Amino acid sequence: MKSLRTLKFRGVTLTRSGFAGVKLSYMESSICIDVPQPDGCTAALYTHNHPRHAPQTPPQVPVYSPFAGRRVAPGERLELVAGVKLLTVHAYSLGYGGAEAHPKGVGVGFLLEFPTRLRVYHAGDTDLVDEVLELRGLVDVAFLPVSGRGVMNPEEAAEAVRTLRPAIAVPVHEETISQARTFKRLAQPYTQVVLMEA
Amino acid sequence: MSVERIVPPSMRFKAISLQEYRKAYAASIDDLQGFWSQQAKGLVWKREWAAAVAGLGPSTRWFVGGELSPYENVILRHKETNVWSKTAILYVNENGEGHTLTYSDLDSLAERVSCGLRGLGLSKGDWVAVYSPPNVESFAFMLGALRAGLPFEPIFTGFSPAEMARRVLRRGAKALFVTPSYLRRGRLVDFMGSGKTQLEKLAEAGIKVIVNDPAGAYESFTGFADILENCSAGAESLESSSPLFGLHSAYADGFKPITHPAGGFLVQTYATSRWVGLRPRDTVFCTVWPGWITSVTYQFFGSLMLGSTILLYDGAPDWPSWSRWIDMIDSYAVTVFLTTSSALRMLSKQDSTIFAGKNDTLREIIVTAEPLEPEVWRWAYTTIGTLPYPVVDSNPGKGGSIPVLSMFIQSEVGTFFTGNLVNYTFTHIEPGSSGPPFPGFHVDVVDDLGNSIRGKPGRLVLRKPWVSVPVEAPEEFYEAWRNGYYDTGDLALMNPEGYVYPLGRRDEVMKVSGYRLSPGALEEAARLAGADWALALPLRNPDRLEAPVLIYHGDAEEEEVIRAVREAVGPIATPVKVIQVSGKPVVNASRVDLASLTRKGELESVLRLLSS
Repeated sequence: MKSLRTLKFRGVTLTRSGFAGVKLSYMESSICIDVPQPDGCTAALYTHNHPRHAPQTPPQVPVYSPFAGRRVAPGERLELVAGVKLLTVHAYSLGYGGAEAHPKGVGVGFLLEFPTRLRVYHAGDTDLVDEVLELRGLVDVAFLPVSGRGVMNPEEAAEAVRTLRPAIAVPVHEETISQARTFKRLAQPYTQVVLMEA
Repeated sequence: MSVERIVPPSMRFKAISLQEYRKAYAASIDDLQGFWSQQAKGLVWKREWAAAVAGLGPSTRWFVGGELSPYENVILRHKETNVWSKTAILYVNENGEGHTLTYSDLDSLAERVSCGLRGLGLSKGDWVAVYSPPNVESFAFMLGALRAGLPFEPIFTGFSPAEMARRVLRRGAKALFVTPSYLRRGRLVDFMGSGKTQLEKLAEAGIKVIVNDPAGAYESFTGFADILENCSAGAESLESSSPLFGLHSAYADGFKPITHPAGGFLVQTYATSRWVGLRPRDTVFCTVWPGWITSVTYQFFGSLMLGSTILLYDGAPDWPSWSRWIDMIDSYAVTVFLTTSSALRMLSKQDSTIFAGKNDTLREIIVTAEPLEPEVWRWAYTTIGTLPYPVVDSNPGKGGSIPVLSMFIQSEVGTFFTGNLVNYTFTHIEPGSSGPPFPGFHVDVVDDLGNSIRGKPGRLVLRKPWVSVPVEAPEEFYEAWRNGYYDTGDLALMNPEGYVYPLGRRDEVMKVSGYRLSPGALEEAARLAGADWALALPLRNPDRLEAPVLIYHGDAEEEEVIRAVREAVGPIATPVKVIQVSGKPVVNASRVDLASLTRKGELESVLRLLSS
């Protein structure tokens, strides 16, 4: 059993939902990232169009993504609900040893800034690319993929933490608990890792 | 007695030889003034002291003439560092609902609390009290008090509302922080129901009762959210010997307040916290709660002074199962686990598979509060203290790669003062011992005449004043110095190498699961229930070290006596045995002698002595 279901940080309640999904509740709004069934969400953000991240049919809430709803592209800034600002960033794999699971320009990551000054980064499906490291000093909470299949492995995600230095880091997109634990062990000196119930 | 020697188990720690330790220790004891003056330089002083030490024995004062801001030394010292944006507190309740703050967030909240307390009319030197399980708001309240120069007393919620109210009044506290409800084993504990009468009594006496309830509206009380305000007042500075915080400690006839000084306590805490290994990159999980010295010193002051992250768990250790704490170590990447011998004894009785593979960030386990038997030490070392992956190990084949370190603490002393120090003098570990004395503390074990003895049980004493000698203490504290040294009231054995083996209390004061309890307080409760004579004694207990037995004479039913103890003192003091005697006894033995009999399990002998 993991202990943490929700985490309140500067007025925002963070919850994991599924494989790589995250729900960010603030005031009366809930912003969901990569939640395939965004019930109860005010807005649904998707990093890319893969089955464990996005629904097959568009949900009944405003959608922000690179492939459906309000289309967003890396580098784009816009305001979501309740004064929450969104910066879209690159997310792609480098294709070590084979085909690229996530070619550059197709998927994105999201950096959200809440009016309470909380900055939450959901990396999407990405390797440890320069665009991730450029967010140094801009992140309070980081949700980072750790499975190593088309995304960062635990060592690379820990390397990202060493640069980004978020106050809180949460591994997502793990296929085994040991991936999350390896990330935890390596990243903990540079952040506070928490394993959240999915 | 164990003769086993465990060398520091991992190359992550630097071991030193006993000769090196003895040299460092002797140097510190020979020049305590120089030693502690050097340690004090680690703090930020507004005005340096004129004399490092003045006075004698229990009246010794350190860093006389010095002035410092406690809040600056605990929080603001991190302002221009990386620590400022890192996690300060990670709180979680039984439902897995968490709350986190960075050091910067915590400072903002504590500042608003301090302004609110000033707004309520409190000014520097006024006492405040806290009666709450660990949570963000209670810690912010204590920090707000620190910022405003208000000494505080945290009161353990295992004490009853009646005992809480007595302590608040005895302190002359002008404000009290309470948490109205919390989850325990899945059920909501309604303190506003059970404690309302006492709170109203305090409010009528002019004490501001501050309730930690964002939704609450209370006629005679104030909401925590309502006191939060902004102001331009800075962090207060205090004279070195000004009161910083206080606790009630147990003595033969009751619980009595002691107060630690700002300068000495912070110096002693900052030094020992570094020695036991706390660092900014640590996440510290302390299972001892506010209201006991270990928590105040190492969970609150020490962890924050060193910039560590504090994990606060507001819940029961066995809910929903005994894997709760180890799951927390796993989920929150805990590096330092600080717990009690009683807790380890309970954990050691559980299925060991629940602990497997969940300790991979753990670096050390510190155990406090009472003797730690070698077999329990061994269990902790091989079950929790063994990493799930191989490390370069200086102890091959014996299991265990994380040191399990028993340490000795007492409220009057303020910090640990014996134990193996991973970040200072790390000599071999002897299971069952609480290590050698810390440098800077002149610890000895003596016979009744004050002669040092080795290899036999004796009185655990401090021959010279420590830096945080209480500035307010009851008569018993001064009496404990009557032979020119401080008698802790504990029994211990010091082996020829100088390792200390605590053996429990020597007097009639009880240690129940590491909690020091006053027999006099239990007897008073029995009298309230209608007993005309009562005697509380410590009965040996395999799980809790000791548990109270209450013998009484009078009309009250046994159930009434038990209820009275729970109401007057608290659930932790509930007697495991209540014996009603038919005639009012004439006692021909001292209470200390009777306690030593019950500690040996000879309750029948005590009853015979009473009936005669």
